[in-house]
Amino acid sequence: MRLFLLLNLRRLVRQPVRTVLGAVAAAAGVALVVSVAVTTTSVSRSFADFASHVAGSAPLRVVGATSRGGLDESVLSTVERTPGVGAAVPMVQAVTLADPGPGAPGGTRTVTGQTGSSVQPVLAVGIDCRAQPLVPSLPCGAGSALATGTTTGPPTLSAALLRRLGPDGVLLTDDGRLPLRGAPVVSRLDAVVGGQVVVMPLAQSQALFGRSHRLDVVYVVPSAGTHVETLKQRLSAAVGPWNGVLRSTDPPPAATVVLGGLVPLFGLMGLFALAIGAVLVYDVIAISLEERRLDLAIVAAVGGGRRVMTGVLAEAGLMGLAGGLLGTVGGVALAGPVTAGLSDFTRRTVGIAVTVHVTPAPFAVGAALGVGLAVAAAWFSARRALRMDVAAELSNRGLRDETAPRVRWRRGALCLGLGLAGVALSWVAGFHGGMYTWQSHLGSVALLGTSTAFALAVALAAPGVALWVLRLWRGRNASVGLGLANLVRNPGRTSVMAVAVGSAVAIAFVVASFDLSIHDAITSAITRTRNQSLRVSTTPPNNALDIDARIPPAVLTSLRHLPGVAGLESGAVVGSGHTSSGLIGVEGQDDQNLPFDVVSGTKDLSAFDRGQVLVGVGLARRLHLRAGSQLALDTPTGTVRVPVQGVWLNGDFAGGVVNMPMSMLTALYGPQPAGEVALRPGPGVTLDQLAREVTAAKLDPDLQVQTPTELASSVSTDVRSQLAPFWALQRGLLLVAFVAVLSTLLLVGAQRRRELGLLAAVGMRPSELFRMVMSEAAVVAVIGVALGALGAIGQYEASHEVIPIFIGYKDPFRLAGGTVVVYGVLVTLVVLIAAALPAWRTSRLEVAASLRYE
Amino acid sequence: MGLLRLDGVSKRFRRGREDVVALDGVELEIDAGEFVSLVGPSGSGKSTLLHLAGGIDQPDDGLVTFDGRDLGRLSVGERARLRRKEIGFVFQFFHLIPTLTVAENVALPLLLDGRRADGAVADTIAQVGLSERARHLPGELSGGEMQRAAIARALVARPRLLLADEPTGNLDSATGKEVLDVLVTEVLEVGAALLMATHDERAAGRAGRVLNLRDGNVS
Repeated sequence: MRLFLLLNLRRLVRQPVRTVLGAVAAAAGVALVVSVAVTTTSVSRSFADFASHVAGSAPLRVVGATSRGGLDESVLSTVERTPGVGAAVPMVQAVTLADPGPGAPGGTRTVTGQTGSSVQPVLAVGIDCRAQPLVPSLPCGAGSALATGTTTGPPTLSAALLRRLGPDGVLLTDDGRLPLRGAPVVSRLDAVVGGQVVVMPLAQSQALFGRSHRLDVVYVVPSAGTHVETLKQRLSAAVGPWNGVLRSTDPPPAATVVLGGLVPLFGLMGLFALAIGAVLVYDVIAISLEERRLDLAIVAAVGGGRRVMTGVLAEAGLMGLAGGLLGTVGGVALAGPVTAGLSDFTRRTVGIAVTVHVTPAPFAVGAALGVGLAVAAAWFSARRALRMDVAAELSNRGLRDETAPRVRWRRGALCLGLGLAGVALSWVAGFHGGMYTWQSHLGSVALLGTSTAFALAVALAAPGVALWVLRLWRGRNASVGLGLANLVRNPGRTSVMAVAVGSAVAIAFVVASFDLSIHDAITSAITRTRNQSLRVSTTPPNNALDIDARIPPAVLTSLRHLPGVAGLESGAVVGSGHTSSGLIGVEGQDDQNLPFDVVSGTKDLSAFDRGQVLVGVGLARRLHLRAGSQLALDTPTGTVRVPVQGVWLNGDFAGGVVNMPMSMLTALYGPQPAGEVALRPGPGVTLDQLAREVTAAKLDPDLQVQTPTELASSVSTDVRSQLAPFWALQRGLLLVAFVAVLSTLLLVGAQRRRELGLLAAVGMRPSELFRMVMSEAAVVAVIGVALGALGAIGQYEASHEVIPIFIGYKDPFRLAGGTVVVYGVLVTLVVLIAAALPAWRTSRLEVAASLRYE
Repeated sequence: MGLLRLDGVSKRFRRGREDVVALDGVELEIDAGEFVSLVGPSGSGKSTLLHLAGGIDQPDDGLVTFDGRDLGRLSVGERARLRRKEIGFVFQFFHLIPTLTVAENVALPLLLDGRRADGAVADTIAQVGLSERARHLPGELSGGEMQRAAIARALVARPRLLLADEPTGNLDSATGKEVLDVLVTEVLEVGAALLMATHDERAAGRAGRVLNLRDGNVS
């Protein structure tokens, strides 16, 4: 222990910049992984908290085939009759919107996509006195609203919601607005989904939210002595396979679908960040060991043995521990905005907010990850230290061979070839939308392989490019030439800096290209398919599947009869399935538009009208569907098989979607209130004229009218906001570039102390020494930007082919070339700022001291 | 049998495309408690011979034995153990760890061996006349003080053999004499054998036996 304190810990303390850099490098790798862990935990805990408040003592719940009114009321008696059931509590859980009244406090949360709107998502819970086993204090006396099942009057609010909405707030329902003035208030409701909840009689919720004889969930309390798992199996058998029996704490499938899509991507990004962190830690430790080769040789000479290696590993472990804890803090901070984005989605889909839950576990995981990362990164350096030629070091024969090392063109070309092969594999994976399971696996491998290969190609090519630039530079400014020469003779260091710079630019380029591509795709699709109609709705255009604030029937009738309206077409979307892996989006449509390309089978309109459905690629892949297959759909009354005429590129629900005529959807799932309608203008009426007419008619204060252009903009903005985590990663990579350049140049400066002293001794001015280091940084930045951008094109193409397999939509190929300029300049500035300190220290070195042998 | 034996020891180094022969079939034997000087011009292989003798390096040919043990058959760890306990080194350029104080540098072999250092270290530092500099860093010492600290480090574990590689080579003549006096005195005190490489004829003359190293061979 004393030896560790003397030889290793003291060095860490005396070289704080180096120590901090090593810790920050480890932290960079750990942060993203921890943020994924914290986000995942937060989702689970948030839903568990919701369940504990709403389900109380009921460990199980029965859900229907659809997320909205999926249970037929008859299921209730089936559940009650099942042996082992102590109580069955029917419930409606509708996600709707509430509009604050005048005088409500500012800062209200808005539903994304409704620019200028102040509405906020609210969970509307409908119960009756059968809920008393869950909430013993329910007011169920004779004459009470719950006991009588009244369908009028304001619901009960939480105190927090009353404060947010004000006394004149309104609740939006499928049957119009419900004023909340005079609503009873229960403070205990503040603990449920942060107070964004209202409670009303079951019958009232069924009437207001289009759930005639339908329920959303039945909570089950077992009778005394009944084993929960046994009861679960009995209930599953009793209610039928089209219904589901879940644990009360299981998240709803719609919410976990998003997590299921995000977690692998974040996990991949986390691995990438870990790899970069490992490289940076390796860099810090390797150069630190390089600097103290003589010290290590002395310790070996006086009998150090393996202690040399264990000391180095312990040093790295300590640095990694600090970095791991720091990274955990960073990961928790990063989880905040990620969780907020997820919460926005879950609030709209299931009315449940996700809040960050931090347990001690991430700190333990982060610390272990940091230590593991640092020790693994230090392993090879430590082994090299153990195997050094001690005699050579002591005799000063250990000086580096200063001739230019071989530039590894062949390896670079091999990596480039592998990257291009990865792109080719991505084409195979994405062929026909990736209809086969093996294609999704191949796509993942191709994406990972391509990213790695191109990153390695950048690393291996960077020193070679520096050599080429050096040859062009010869004979000009000596300090710049020396800087170039330093890049060439330290290819490893040059590679690390170039990859760090290139990664920041590449991610920005890829994300910006996708951003552009998504915008173009949405705009093109909407203006192509809806260019002859207005969208009229009371809900946001995107991710509003389960929001029960639909167009009231009376408003629909009025719309139909407005002058200038030639026709009104509606559609509906139902989420079918009670597991995230089994979720199917069922889309019904009135219009005669079948806009997406078919990859298998046909999209014949007359066959469609006869009930031959079209399925998305994701669904086809999951269930092995082709033209002629039968798709089994769970409905509230049983499982129904429908014929498939084709597989097409509809990316809704990540391709897990089936399209059918509206009449068929109504037959299977019951009447669905219209969330949005398409209004077709009459002859001689423009869309703008019709929009003005609808607005002027003031049919409903919540009615929104959007032209195709406005709709495209709204949807595009909403979808592109989901790229926010990737932009956060890109900012993180800018920091990584900063750390990489700063650490590398600082430590290399320490390594070359004697050489720099010699340069000063033979007449190099401090300003020239400064310029030498700055030119090293500037050149590696330019090389990193150029190579990173080139590699990014390949990475984007591979991503462009593979990502649609997972998200369902294939957007056009677009390259955001301007991003390279913007972020190239930005990252170059970051690199120059990072190089300023090492350059300044180099310019101020003490010549005599640096020329001394030791 | 001598404490240290070199039998037919050769060592070559690669310099660019050429092999340079540092030692060529060296035969050498040193008995316990003996003081032997090794003289030769710069680049004659003196340091190489000492490194081989101490197990820091391995010969290309021949045998190096210490107290009857073939150093070539010992593992890296066993050789390190030998250097902690039985062989001390003094180098021309002192080779003190710059971040450790004099006391900590002197204690290093004991700490590496997992032994408590306090008493032995204080005594050894006092013997070389550095008690008042014990808490100073090498950068705060003069050349002579640094070499005395290095001598103390080499002797703290009471080795049976001390290998000194040009111990006065980096010192002025007055300081060098002073340091040499300390070295010889302390080696005698612990009863160790001393093999000292030097190109200083006067220093060499203090030994009981002088060996000449020329063209890779000892005479």
